[in-house]
Amino acid sequence: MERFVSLLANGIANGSIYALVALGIVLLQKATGIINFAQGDLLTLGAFVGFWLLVKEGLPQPVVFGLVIVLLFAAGVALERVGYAPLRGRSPLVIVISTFALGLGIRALLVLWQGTTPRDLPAPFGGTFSLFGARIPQQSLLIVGVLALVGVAVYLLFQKTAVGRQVRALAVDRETALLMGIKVRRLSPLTFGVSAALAGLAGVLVAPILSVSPGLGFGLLLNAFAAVVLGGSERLAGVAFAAMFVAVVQALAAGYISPNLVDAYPFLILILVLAVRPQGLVRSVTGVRY
Amino acid sequence: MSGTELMEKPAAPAKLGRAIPPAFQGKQFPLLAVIVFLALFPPLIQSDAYDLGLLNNVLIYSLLTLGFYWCFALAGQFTFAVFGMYAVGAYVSVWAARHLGGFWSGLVAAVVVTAAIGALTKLAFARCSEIYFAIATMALGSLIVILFREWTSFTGGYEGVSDIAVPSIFGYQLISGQSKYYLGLGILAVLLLLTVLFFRSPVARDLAFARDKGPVAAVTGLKPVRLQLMGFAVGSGIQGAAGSLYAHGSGFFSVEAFNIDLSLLVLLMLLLGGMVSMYGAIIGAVILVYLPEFLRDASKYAEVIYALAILVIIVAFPRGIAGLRHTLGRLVRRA
Repeated sequence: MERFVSLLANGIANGSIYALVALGIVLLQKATGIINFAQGDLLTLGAFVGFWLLVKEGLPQPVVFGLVIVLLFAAGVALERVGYAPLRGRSPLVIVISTFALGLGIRALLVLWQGTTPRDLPAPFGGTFSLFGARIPQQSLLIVGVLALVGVAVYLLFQKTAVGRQVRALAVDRETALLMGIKVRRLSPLTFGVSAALAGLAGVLVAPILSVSPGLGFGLLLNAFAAVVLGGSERLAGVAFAAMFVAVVQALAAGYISPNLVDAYPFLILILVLAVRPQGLVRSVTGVRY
Repeated sequence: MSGTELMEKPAAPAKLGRAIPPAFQGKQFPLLAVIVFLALFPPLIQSDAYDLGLLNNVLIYSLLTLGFYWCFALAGQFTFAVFGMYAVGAYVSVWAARHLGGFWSGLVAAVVVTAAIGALTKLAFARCSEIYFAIATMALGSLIVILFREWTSFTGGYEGVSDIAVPSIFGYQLISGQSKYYLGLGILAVLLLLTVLFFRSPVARDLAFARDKGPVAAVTGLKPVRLQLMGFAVGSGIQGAAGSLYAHGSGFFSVEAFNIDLSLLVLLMLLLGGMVSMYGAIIGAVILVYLPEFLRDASKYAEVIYALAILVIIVAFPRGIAGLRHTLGRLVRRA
């Protein structure tokens, strides 16, 4: 029981991280129709920026969180300018290659800036608490809490504001939305920024649990893709639950089957889903919801 | 949509009266013969072990990139699984050479197994869009390498495998760097010849049609999935051959040799060389194997340079070096 609870808690914390990355991917996909392969490296960037602000500059935690969100938003807008704006209208594969190159560039710049030695970020709340005898780090609670907050914020942004309505219109029918005068050129930097900020937030949150190295985010990217594919990218909540599912399965399988294959389980889920039900397990809603 | 569709404008229609398919214009067999003939000389000029190692690398990367060219430019299926196929080719080849007798059975086994995996991949993910297909191949490649890492009784894991069969022809052992180079060159020449023959066959036009206009091709009675599957399997098989050649040429290797950076390098080679011609794969491989030698001081910045290079190429030179004449022509005409 103890072991099970601790594995489950671990899975849920990881799942929240995957969910933050996956939400960023899905948002961008809805607004622009592309999949960002640099999302994982944006997470790493967030973790390193957090490390730099917190450990080197000695800023307090809440300020660090705020600054990371702002800086990563800027980074996302910069990515859009460099890697997406010049390629608008080209084949989606070209844009995939471009975002992949951008991710590589971020990774390489991080290696130049910070080197390859893994760094540790102190957690805002260092302690643990016990649940059914299992010791769970308080950081896990913080991660889940932040995911819930972000979920509410994203929901409000996309359901209750004019900008959100425009993005949803783009997702439903791109061409009609353009004909209706929705300014996609203004929306795409915004969504790039928001999705990068989500990745950066995930980076600061995950950094105290895992050690921060330049390959961190790229390793998590495929796990987030597994969540996106499983969730079906139709409803954001579906993606978040799919991320939890992937991470919990990963944690339990690592605990009870074989810890050596811990990084393989999400790939297996991804491959199985794409082979069996490429449209995702959550049934896609064909009607338009406004 | 495919690699060659990255371009902007369709070519001008052929003049009536000499409407020969492009595959029959130009002198492909003489061109191939000249290139292979010229490739005979480098190992005679540069004969120390280091230079021969580089030359052998050029051949292995040419094979890998040619395989990727088949998958991406011809079959229109982007794949991140190049490093996985390379690993499968290497391990299967070593195993088969040990148990079935010699390098040649290893090579054949490597090609057959990787081609089968390629075909299965396309079959399993046939319903995915091209981007999800790319994601699926990324997961597949990573999964293959993780399995090889853990399956230590077969692969040795990080300990590596040694005691690898040395290639031989008619009982003559190919131990020296030169002989390995000529073996690789022979294999590459055969595969290039096959590619030329493919271009001259009607299947090439069917495949281009199926790749670029899948549903329309299906209406005319072609089988797009089957055609793309064929192209993808051939490409995977060529990547497997590269793995086999690497394994038998190195004498020792471990699972560390296979990671996703390899897929990235191969992508860059093809983008740089150009997807408009199969020689683009070789141009790219030559440049990217020798470039680090000239830029020793800048090796710290290698990955930044690679990333920038990919961006610049896809934005400004979508046809790569092999298509430079066309790109420059457009710029001149526009000016």
